[in-house]
Amino acid sequence: MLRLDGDGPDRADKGRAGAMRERDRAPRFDGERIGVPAAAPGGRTGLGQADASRADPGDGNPGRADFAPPGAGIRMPRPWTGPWTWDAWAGLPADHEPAPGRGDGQEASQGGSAVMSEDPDLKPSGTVTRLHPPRLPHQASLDRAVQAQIGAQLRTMYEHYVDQPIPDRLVELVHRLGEAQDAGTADGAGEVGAGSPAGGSTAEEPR
Amino acid sequence: MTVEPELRDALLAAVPSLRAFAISLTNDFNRADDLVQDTLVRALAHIDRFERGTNLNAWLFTILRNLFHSEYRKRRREVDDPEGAYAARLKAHPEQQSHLDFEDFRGALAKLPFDQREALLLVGAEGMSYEDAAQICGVAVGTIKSRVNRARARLAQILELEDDDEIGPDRVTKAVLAPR
Repeated sequence: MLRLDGDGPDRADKGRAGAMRERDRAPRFDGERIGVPAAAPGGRTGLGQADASRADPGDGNPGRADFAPPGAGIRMPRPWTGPWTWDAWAGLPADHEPAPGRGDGQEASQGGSAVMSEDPDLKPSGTVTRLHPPRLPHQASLDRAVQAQIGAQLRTMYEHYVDQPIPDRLVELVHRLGEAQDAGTADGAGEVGAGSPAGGSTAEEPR
Repeated sequence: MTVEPELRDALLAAVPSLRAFAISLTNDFNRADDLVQDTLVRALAHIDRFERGTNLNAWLFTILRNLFHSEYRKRRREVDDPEGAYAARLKAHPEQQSHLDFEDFRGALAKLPFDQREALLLVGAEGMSYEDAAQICGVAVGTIKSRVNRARARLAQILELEDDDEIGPDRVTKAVLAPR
């Protein structure tokens, strides 16, 4: 039993200790039943340091354990029994197919998702542990290869348009522009705009 | 109004890009040419307001975009194609896979919302910086980035892109071109 004061146990405490031992035989709080992940080595749980401190901050003070069911506050986390993965924590089956672009080991190299820890005890070999839950398919970032394909196709289409010959009416407009420049008068440029849909009269300035 | 030869040459050099942008926006060659002509006329009418030494292309693209918005979009003459009706009418040569891809992509682009389409065209096709595109569209840089990303994602969804084989050379062509 964890003591809340710094003095030794008095007689009343010793008397209560027997009752506590009896009470400990009753069904105890089991983190697994309510979905708390198995603990990692070193007393951490899968929920992170904040939740680990909830169980036992390590300073002799039960902290928030008094909010737990009787007998649960000071219980040490279960020992590490195997590689902890996000999918296991989320209750997904072992053969769960990860979302596109996730869980393929590219997160670390692309900097897309943080790896839980560099501690070898917390990072079982061959398993990438994610801090964030898997994103749904429609939320997944577009694959780089697909982005490259879209970009290439877009540029191909655009260059196809750029390479097309300029229509005659625009060529004529360009020639008039040159003539106006040669004449050095503003009137010539005004003639360029004559007959155009916009008419060159409205003054819509670029932002 | 006086137009320096250098500025005139720059205006002329910008015409193909302006036209490509207009075609991509309107999906109509004739309307695109009208738009480019209006843009040139408008630019000449206000050439004194252009600050020499600044980005002429960005200035011209801004005029073209504003014209498209103010005159064409208000009159609702542009192709509204939310259900893909226009794209469904596009014809393609089935025997040419690349042409089919081209038309598929063009149809998919036409389905994009206008704001996403113009952002993707300016950044992805015209090669402008996010800052220039934001200035042209009159929005924040982050907005442009978001629109470009959403446009790409939407295109991938429309084209049902899932892997490398979905766009580009078909499997037979790839097999021929593949190194041995």
